[in-house]
Amino acid sequence: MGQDGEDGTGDLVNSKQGLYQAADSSPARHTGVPVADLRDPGDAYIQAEIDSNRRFEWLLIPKALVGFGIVGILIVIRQVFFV
Amino acid sequence: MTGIDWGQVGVVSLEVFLLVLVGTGAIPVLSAALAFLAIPFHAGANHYKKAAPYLPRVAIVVPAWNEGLVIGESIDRLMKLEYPLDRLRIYIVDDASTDDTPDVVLAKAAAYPGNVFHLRREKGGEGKAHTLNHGIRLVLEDDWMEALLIMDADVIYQPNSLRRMTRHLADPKVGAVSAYIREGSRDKNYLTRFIGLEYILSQPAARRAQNVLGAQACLAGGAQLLTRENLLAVGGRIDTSSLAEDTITTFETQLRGRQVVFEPLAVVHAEEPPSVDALWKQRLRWARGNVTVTSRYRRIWFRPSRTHGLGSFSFGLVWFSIWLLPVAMILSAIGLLGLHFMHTQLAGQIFGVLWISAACTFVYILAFGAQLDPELSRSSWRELFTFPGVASMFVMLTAFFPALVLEYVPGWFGLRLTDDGQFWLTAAIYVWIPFSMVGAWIARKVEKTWAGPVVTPFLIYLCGYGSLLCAITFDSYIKEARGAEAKWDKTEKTGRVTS
Repeated sequence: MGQDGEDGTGDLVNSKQGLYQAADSSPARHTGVPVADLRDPGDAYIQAEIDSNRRFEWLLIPKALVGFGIVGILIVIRQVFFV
Repeated sequence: MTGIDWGQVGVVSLEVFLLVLVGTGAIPVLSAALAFLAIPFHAGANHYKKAAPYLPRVAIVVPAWNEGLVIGESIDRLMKLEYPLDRLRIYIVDDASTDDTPDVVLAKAAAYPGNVFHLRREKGGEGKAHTLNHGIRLVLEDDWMEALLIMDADVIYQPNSLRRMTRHLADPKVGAVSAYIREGSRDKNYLTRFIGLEYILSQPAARRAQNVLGAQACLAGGAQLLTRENLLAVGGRIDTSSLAEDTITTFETQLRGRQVVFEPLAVVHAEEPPSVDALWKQRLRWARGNVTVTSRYRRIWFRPSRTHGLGSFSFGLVWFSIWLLPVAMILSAIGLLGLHFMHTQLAGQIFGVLWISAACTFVYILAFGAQLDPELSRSSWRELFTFPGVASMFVMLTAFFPALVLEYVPGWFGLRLTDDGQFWLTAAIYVWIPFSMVGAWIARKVEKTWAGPVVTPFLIYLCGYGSLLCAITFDSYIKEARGAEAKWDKTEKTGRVTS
């Protein structure tokens, strides 16, 4: 999923049409709050979106660990084979 | 009593001086490491806990000069924002366009009555800030507007992006919110892919870090949401005295104790320059603007304040590391080369420490950054692996695995470097970075010649996109030193943007 797709819509946003399809299809999936009018989805929906996005930020930690892991592998290769 | 060996003192002093020069090259590495190590803390230190459902009346001001190709579609897209129509007004400030911009905008105003407005300036060409001020002045004449969104004519907002920005304004301490400007050219080439990666590293990555560190360097020009209260506090207008009006708005907001928030999940797609020449002009404008900002706010650097975070050590380090990066690279190369001639073994050890640190930081940054927008990173994998330049990667490889580069690989071809050969190859490696900036400069010079389509991409891949940006920053020093005219060159847009 891309930056756009933290709510499960990343693959759809590759085309203009897909952008709006993504917008139409995303609400129920990522907030669980039904919404009749996307222009004014109501406080419950917006709050659920905030909570969802807030939880999404915790994924930064495993992503950083992946970065550390790759650096670690390089250091191990250096220490084992080239020092 | 023994006499002082002044010759020896001189040699030691020179070595210390060269070591200090080499040390300047470590500052940008430390700064980048600090910023990217701060990003995971955004998991807890973000503004979402203070965000709340809030849909203020938003006036969108769009400066437009000869935007006939793109403005109609931009308006249609803005009208599809997931935002209540009765709280949305779009003001197109037509800066004396000579194409069909007025006709297109007037047609849209008729199609969306009460939502789209055409504001015409008969005298144009004064630059974006003047154009914006024309619209802002009119918008402020009544009390309708509660928040102002400043954007560019050609960018595409994802439908949920404005709502994701306004939720932060529920916190009265927030004065402005910015979004992730994502490279969105329809016909991508090597350069727009490099720019896309740069934007990932500088926005969803670095600006998250700035959220954590407590100060934002710049509101993105295409996505600046300001509260009415903050707009009035900063003078009710955009600064027109420099080429960095976005940065000045950002600084003035924070200096008054208001927070600037970067919202990484509000995504705005923008068309970026497809040629080195166009990119050079755009970035030269930004870099010269930053020279102005650095000088104008000289009293805040490294002076912590309770009102704002701009004076913190971490923010100053990040700001000056970027601004002085070319100087640091040149000084570090001079220091290494000098040490190489005086004390070859010491130079080799320091080079190893410096470039191994740089390589680890670089790998961590790219591995982490790529995960922040995997879709864009996947489509730019060649640029991801060559971001610092093929030659600089060779330098890193030499530092990380010296035996591999200097012994094993030549050995595979039955070659062996002589001591002299190794000495001069090492010297060449030490001074590569300053020369890579020259390579980037040549890439621009040859771009419009018959050889340009092949040689320019080759040189950018070889020398690195970072070296290109360093060369532009260096050019900004020269232009400022010469007092060259600071003019607002509009980046040419063709409507190639896609989502």
